[in-house]
Amino acid sequence: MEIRIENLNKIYKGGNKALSDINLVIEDGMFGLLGPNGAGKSTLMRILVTLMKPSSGRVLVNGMDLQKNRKEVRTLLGYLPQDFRFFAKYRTWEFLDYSARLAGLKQRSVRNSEVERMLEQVGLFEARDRSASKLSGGMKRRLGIAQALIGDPKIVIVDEPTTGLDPDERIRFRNLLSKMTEKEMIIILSTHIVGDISSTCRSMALLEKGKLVFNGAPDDLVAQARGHVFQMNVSNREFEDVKEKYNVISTIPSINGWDVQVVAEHTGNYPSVPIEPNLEHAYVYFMELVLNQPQELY
Amino acid sequence: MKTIRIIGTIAWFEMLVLFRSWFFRIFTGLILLVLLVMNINVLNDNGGNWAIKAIASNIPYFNILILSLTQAFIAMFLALDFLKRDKKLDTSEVIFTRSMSNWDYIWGKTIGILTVFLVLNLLVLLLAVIINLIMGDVTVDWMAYFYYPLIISIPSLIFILGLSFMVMSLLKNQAIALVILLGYTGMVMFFGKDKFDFIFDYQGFRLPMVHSDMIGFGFEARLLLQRGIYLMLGLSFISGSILLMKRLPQSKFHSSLSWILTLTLGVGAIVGIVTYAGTTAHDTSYRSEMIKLNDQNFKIPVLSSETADLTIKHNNRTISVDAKMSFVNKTHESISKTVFTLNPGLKLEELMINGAKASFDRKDHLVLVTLPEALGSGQSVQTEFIYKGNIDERVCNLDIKAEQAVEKWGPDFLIAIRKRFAILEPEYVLLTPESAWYPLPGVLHGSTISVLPTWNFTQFKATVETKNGLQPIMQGKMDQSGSSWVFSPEKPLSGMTLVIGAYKPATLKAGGVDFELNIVKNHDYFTKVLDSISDTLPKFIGDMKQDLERRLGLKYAYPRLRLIEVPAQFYAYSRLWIKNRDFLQPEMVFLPEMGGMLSRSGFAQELRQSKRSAKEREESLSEKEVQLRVLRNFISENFQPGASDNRMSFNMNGPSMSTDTDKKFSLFPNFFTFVNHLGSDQYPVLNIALESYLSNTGDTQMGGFGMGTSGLSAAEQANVELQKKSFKKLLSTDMDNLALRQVIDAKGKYFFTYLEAVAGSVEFMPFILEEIAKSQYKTIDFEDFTADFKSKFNFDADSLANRWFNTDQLPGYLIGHVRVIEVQQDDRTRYQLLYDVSNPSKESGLVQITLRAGGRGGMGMRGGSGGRGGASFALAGRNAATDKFLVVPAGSAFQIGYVLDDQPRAMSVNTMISTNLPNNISYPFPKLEQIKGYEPMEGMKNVPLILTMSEPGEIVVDNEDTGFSMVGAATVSRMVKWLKINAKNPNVPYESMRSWRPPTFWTPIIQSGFYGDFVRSAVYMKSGEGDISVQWKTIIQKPGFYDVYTFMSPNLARMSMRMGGGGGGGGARPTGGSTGGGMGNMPEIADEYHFTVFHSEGKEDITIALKSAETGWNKLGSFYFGADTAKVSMNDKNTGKTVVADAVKWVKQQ
Repeated sequence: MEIRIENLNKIYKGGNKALSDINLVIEDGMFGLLGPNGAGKSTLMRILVTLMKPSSGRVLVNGMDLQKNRKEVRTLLGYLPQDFRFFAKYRTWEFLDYSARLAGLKQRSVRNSEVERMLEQVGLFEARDRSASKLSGGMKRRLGIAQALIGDPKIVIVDEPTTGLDPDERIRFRNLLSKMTEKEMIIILSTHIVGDISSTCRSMALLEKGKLVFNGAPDDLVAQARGHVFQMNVSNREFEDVKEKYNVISTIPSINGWDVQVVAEHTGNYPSVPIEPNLEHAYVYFMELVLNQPQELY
Repeated sequence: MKTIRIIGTIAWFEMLVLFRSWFFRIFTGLILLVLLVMNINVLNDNGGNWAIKAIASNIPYFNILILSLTQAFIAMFLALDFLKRDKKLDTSEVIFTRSMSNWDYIWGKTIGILTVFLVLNLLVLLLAVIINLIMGDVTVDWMAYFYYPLIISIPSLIFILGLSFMVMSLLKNQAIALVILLGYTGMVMFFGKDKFDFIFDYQGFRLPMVHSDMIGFGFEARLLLQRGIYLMLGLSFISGSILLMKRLPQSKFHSSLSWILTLTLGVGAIVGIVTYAGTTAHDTSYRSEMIKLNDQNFKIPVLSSETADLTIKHNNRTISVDAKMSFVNKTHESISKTVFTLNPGLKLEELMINGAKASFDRKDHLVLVTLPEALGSGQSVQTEFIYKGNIDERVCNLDIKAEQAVEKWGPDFLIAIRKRFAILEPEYVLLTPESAWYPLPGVLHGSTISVLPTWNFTQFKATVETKNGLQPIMQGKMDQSGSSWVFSPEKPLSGMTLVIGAYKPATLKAGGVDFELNIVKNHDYFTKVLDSISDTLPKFIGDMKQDLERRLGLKYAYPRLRLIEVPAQFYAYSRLWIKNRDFLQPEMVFLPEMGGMLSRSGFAQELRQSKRSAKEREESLSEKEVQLRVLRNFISENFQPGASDNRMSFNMNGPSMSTDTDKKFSLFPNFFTFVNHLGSDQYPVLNIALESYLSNTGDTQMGGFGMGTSGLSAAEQANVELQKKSFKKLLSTDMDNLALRQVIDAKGKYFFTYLEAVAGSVEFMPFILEEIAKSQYKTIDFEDFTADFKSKFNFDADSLANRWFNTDQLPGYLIGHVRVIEVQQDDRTRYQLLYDVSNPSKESGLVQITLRAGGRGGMGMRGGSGGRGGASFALAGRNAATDKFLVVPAGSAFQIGYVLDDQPRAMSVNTMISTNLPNNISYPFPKLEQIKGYEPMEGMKNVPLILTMSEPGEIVVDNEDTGFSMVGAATVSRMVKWLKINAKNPNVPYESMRSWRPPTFWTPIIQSGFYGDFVRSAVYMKSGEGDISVQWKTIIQKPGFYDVYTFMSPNLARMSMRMGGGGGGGGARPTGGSTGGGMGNMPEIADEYHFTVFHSEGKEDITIALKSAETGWNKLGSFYFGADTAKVSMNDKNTGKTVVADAVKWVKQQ
């Protein structure tokens, strides 16, 4: 499987440029699409799942132009949109059954066992007869991933799947996804939560204001930040100054002030210890220092 | 294959959602409940509706109709909802990313919704069929359970779904889309109605779809086209909404297919609409063209037909006829060019005159012929018309105007029957002379009533050949010769009718007449029910015939009466120029299929009801007696002449009642119309005038309920019209036929009643009967009639006819000074009744006086006195005991006195054709006077003529006078204005009083109890806040103290309160509202009226409580008035429901 995105642009009515010249190749495995809110992730996803047309450029799926071969591409797709809350009057298993039928599972017995398997897999078997609209937020999300995965799709696109989930559900969800990577398929995970990606993705892209600013392995991103993440101990008075000057990633109160981690080119007069960056540090480093733009962080 | 699977999936899951929607479940429950009740109502054995169930297919028809009406709204809502749901539910995006085309998706959804409704349709039909099977006396028409949903439900559902998808796709707002769709449906239902032959009726709600066993729907091609248009439009819209769907398409093939379907079906629908509406428009213009042709050729001299020998071959949808006819010139001039009418669908192949081929000019239905040589007066000519073809039904009923033509024909307010006037099918034929299926001398109807078909008495003979197994029926003795049937009528007929069908004739001889019943297979639903009467039947029918002859004073004219079952669709309008509907033909009556449109024809249930009521009354009747009773009711309700068909209708202004005056199947024409004809070139409606008089039908005062919203009875409405124009002019105006018929009826009866009053009833009826008897089967010349009348009664009937026809003046009467004096005569107490009648107008006139004695039935009265020349009164024919007719010459006044054996309780005067309104005035009898030595007066004496009812020294201002005015205007909401609720009809000067939603502005009403000289009227409105008022103003000539009075009718308020409380019996005019007495037990009323009297010293407010007010004049007080304008006002403030303002008077104190 390969998705090749070439010179993709999307300009909304009113001139808002949501995507600008995106070039990207996505191969089998879990692919993370990271970026702050409004970066264009959802737009890109919606183009990939054929809900939207690009303004220009093209997407090739295994060499097939997405715009010209929607029928074929759609047979490969599984999609979980960012919002997945409101259901028509279906029971949980019915909704899955509906998706399975549309995904091409013709035979009733095959479909039934597949639906059952998926329900087991996402832990909704007990809730299979409940009305889908009465499930909790996390359960709905799991039902969402189940319907995206049913029928053995080759491309699964998951938009902001963990937003609003409690930590337990979030971990459960990540585990579910990472299990999938064993198969030959592309899973595109769009998120603004760095943790979602660091745990699962082999490669990733970083979107910012509609532009692709990074494309590579998460480790490459981390490598760039090496030497730019520091740990220091500051007094209460100094803390205010540090907050002004540097991108503070974490603060822990200590006996004589605060233990602070910052992302910076250097820490000036403040004594500090460089530490090994993680993906979150790298993301901040990249967004704040490389792109040199003040960013709101999560 | 994949497409079908996906469509199936989408449909299945859509169905799941819909079946789970409470909206749909509640609707289903409700509709099933409503239909359960309705079905039981219609089908139950005891009080069911035979009119509907007579035709078994009507049962699925009305079920589907009611369902279709309501399900359109639900479908509309669900269709909009699904598109909205797609937008609203974020989960639908995951469906959209699946591999399926938009075509699959939309069709899936459509089929899902449709299936749900089909299930609903099935449930409804199942319910109907179960009740149909359980309840009683009706068979199940299984096919109808199949085709009604197919032609009603499916096209309307597909259309409304498509339209909803389309509107929603374009507008993207459910609320706005719903408003538009509801508005559209409302427009179609209330304004589209029957326009362009029901083209706007997408629900098939008004479309007449009763299915006959004999001829099907009666307009299959058009019906299918109409339904097809909506089916195509619906499918086109659905395909169109595929193209408009907000999802990226994935199948070029499906997109192209959608385009193709949208366009071809759309174009198809448009072509359909153009064809359908075009045909309707063309039919209308073709009819106008024919009417114009008749107008143009009306003056061409016409021959009268004497004999006709018709040889008819029926083959499929054509007939070929060889008509050998002889004609005579009955005019006084010689004729060289003449005109005939022959149905334009029939091609005249050859015309022979006196054995030689003659040329002719064909213009639509007209055959214009120049005779080889001029035909002198009284000379005859032999002709032969050879023609063949089909029947163009448009030639029928050219005199029927659009508003009458759209009258619904059907067993109830809901289901409708397509009207047919001439039928020529392979298996069934019904051709009356109306269709001009054989050559008729002269033209047909023109734009005015004086352009008419001619009336001929012809000696017919006919030979018919048709398909094996079909039975032709015509008039006359029937013989079979080889493969043809020969019909030889014994008497000349006014026309010949051809009926061909799968009939099985059965004959019963009774009272010297052969009664021949012709019904089709499986339609004998009565023999089994009325099984005990066969031995008594001949005597029974014979007796009924004799009764009828006695009642009418006329003899049944033929040796036989053929009762022929005809398809439900056959319809005959009531006509202005003749008192006959085509349901009757000489020696024939057409019975609508299975008796469905006849009264009391559900014999099984009639029988049960009769038995039950006999039991309740503790009568012990044998089975046979009950059956005979049922049969008698059936015969007299349908076939005895008389008024019938009171139709209740509801509109925005409440219920109203209109009277269709003639029974559709009255046998009267077979006693008179087909046998005699009173002809007059000058007075084209004299014949129907005589018919109205003889059959004694037409407008009857129905205790106040016999009127429409106008508040005027038919006769009163006629008077209003006749004040504007002479009778002659009215006949040539483009007046609504129903209104015109009221005028003709009233005028017709008036003319002959006038003659009756002049001649005296005792002698008049025998005179008329003799005139009729001596000219059977020929036209009675009015000139001969007047000559006979003159020689017998010394009265110039022609000059009466002349004034009756041409004058635009009406008489008007002032009737008053009613007194009753107790008289002792020969040791007996008797009663002198006195009253004055003045006719200050320039026109002589006739009034009818009716007296009522309290509780003791008729009154003994001495009538017949009075001399000729002056006023006279005579006993009327039918209610001789109590009715008197009085001729009051122009500018004369009399005091009339009767000496009566019983104390009279009430007198009512019918002012007939006059300026008086209302037409019936009730007079309260004042206290019984006792005068010693009083010499009673019997007869009449001259008294001074009076011009007004007010007494000398009184100044009266009535609401009809110029001194009366209305002040202030009510605010009417725009919606009310737009919907024309309460809008005033300019042709209706007086409305009826409504206690249900009274008007919010002063509205004139008439009532016997109101004050007035010639018009007893008042104005009334809904009680308000006191900001709207009325004023009575006059100029006081002589200053001084005056007593001021106002005229009040407290009983009216009581009456309206009582009726209002009863749930809206609007449209009523209580008669005798002011007769006093007899009104006991009235509820207390809280009404208080607020008057202000403006006098020389200022003004004074006076409140009058109605409960203590007198009926009549009530004193407001005594005031000083200078020589100036005096004024009294009254406002709309009242604690009761309505306020009524009538008259005020100032009486100078002595």
